[in-house]
Amino acid sequence: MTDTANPPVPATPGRLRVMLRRHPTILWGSGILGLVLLLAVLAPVAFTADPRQVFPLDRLKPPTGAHWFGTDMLGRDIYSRTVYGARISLIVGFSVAACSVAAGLAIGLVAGSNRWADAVLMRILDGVMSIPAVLLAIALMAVSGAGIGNVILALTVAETPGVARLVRGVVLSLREQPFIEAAVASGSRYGSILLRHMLPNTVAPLLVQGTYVCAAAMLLEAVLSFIGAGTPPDVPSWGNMMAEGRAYFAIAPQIILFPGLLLSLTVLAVNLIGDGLRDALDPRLARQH
Amino acid sequence: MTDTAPLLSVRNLQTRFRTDGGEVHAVDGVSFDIRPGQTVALVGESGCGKSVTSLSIMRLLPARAARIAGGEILLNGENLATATEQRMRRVRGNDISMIFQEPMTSLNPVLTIGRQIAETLELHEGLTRREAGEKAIHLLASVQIPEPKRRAAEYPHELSGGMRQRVMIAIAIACSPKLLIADEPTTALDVTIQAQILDLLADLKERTNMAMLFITHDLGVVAEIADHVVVMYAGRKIEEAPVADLYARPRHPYTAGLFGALPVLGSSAGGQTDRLNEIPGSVPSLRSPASHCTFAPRCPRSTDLCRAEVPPLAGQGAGHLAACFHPEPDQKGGTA
Amino acid sequence: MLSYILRRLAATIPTLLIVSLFIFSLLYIGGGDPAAMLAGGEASAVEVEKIRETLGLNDPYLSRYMDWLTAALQGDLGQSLYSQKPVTELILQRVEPTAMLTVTTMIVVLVLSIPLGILAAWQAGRATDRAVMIFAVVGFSVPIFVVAYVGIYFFSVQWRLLPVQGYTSPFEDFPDFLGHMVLPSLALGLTLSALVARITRASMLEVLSQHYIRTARAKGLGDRPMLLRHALKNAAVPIVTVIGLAVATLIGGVVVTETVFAIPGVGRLTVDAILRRDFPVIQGVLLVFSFVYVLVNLAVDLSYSLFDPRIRYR
Repeated sequence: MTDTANPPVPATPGRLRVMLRRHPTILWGSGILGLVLLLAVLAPVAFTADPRQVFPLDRLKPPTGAHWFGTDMLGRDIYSRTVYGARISLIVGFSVAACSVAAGLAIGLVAGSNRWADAVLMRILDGVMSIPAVLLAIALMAVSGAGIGNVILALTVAETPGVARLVRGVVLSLREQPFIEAAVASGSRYGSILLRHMLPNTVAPLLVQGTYVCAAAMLLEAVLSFIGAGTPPDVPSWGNMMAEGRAYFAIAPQIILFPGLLLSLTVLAVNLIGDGLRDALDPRLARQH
Repeated sequence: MTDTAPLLSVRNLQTRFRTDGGEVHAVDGVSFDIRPGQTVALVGESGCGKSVTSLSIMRLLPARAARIAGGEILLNGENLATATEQRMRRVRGNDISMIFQEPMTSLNPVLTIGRQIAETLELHEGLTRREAGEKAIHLLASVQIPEPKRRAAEYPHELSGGMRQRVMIAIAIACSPKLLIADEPTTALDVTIQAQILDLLADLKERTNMAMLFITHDLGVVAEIADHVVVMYAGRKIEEAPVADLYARPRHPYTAGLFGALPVLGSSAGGQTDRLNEIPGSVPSLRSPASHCTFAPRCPRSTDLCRAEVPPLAGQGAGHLAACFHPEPDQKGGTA
Repeated sequence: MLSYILRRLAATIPTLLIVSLFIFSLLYIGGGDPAAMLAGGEASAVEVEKIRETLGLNDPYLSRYMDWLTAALQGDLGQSLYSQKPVTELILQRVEPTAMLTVTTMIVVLVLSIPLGILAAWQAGRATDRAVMIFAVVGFSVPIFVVAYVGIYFFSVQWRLLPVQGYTSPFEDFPDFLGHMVLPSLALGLTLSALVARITRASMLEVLSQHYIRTARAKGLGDRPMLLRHALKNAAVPIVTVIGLAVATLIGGVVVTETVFAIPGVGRLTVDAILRRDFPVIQGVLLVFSFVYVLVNLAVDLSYSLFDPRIRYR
């Protein structure tokens, strides 16, 4: 009974292969993301210069053999900065996804298990969710000051309520399932029911949601940095680079174009993985594709 | 019997569904005629292809999953199997209309009853909105819905299942179709409501001389309403006969099994019943045209011949055909 | 119906209280002395004390919150630390461009996304459907400023068809207003259109598999009335729900769009306030935007009965 109620989690390489063949978007997304990841990890050896090094004679140069993506208004190499910027974007995306999934899971499990806690927590979450995510993150950044850690914290606060609601929903719907009632009737302790039955059932939806949170966090980080409330100005993040390029856009579009393209591509890759996972793990939704 | 030209003539219909494992022959060479004013019952277990047959006639099969692979569907001589979608729109709801098994979900929940009836009239009879609205109220009255004027302004969720099926019938008869296809119209309803709906259909038929294709698995209903019966098994027609003849002398062992006249292999017992016997296992679905009698695995009379060849339909008396090498003996003595 | 609206409005009060408490407490979340933080690193003790005095930071926490909330309810959102002007006045001055941008964006979204979603559902599995789905996932992944700058580069810089930046009031020069709004509302609308097109497609697909659609076809209805009259209204509830939720994305996008296109709206006010650490303004803007968002979603809830007669409010 438990087996039929649990969503299909790929357990064997064979099933994984079938899943990937049926949902090629996962493969595409992973491929692109893998490339960006590789570039970010290998940044120091990926034919880059120091992203902060200034070449005063080479200011605002279009792409050349020496500077593949051209140079910015201080003569810094845009290719190097873009590659290093990938690190920031990926760190923020993955950290926010991990932190808000962890926090959301904890809050959701508690809310789904205890009616009093549920009433209080849901009110608070409703409140936080009523503040548009960008504004919430902006406000938090305004009080905490620029910094990657603060960006991660602010975006985690903004993204956690959604995850918590999802987990709570899963727990509440599972509580009505016969196999949980049977476990309760047979005297299992609630804690062990949570661990043995509830937790595994949250894996699939959390995986999907976590992917979307990662994509949203990457976009939001860029937005925050772009409007001057994200990473410190000296960090070569994609958002910062695009903010710097604003004034020179008409004469040197490459300053904005390349980080913008890389950001779009990375977010697209993560979203493709998310879509593929959702279709693969949720047969009800998959039917519609 | 054969003096009037058939209104609808289904000839060697082949309908196939695409699946992951290849094409399934859901309907495999079915033929039958319906004459004006006649009621033909299409009988069989679920999955035997009877609903697919009716949807094929209406050309309402899911476009990407199913196709009519062969045969003809002649309505007054015009082949609907190859008609354009544009032509079919003129036929549907006008020449042929259909009522379904699910009265609770077959009406649009966000449109009023009156609108849903009037829509058909505006479409096929060119009535104005107002004229159609007025005629819709008359139609509601003619399907015996009390307070038709008030009901016309209501939404489906405000009506009971029996009422909704009456509304479906009102939509179906709005443009005085020549043929009404009723796909298990009473299955989802209470027994008392079932009887009322059957009475209503019988009454309408008498008043309008409309022909009817009645799809059911309920032999009690068949006896009450049909003139002629076609029995299907695994996508094929295995027997057809005038209703009285079929009840008196079922020839195919499967039909006989349905009537409970003799035990079917694997079924619980004989026992007189007017419902289909529960026959364990489902009707086989065919990946290729049959190469032998599809009922043979479950048939008490099957022989090597049955497992080697498809039995052809053979005459068993006036208007009576059965596809069996070893038909049931005529228990009442007479032969063809 | 009216009593239902009033009760639903009353039900939003606890949410709004929590929102306001949260927004009010933001200053204290960072830890440390808010007055010193607001004054900035180089401020003298006298300056810090002055800010402390202006903001009433010496009073107990809850009483400060109550004072702030009471004032806010009366339309007084405090004073800007930068310009010394009332926050309410600052916001009101900036409302028009933001409201206009929101309206034109919503028009873009509705005109673009709903037909695309319907088209995709109708052509499910075919090339058109795939194209729409690719648009949906790409549109959802490309940040607003990338779309905006690509648009500016071609339409304004290269081809000189549209103004680069700025805003003109529609009440002064309508054609000029439109010219200024084309790129911002397209850039902002693209992300949202992707989201709405996706949900329209999913919702329509769900509806198209229903029995009453088969009934509509059995009547002899063509695709067009079947899709628009029978299916769309049934598919509407999830669509308007997502549009309501997308207002959060829209508000976030307004901040970015107004920055890129130099539109003097509330979003631009927000960004300026952040750069100047003008906290009363940030709080005021946050409160107003959250309030609007809650109200929009209340309106969405109430609109359900327009689409589905089974939903009744008592």
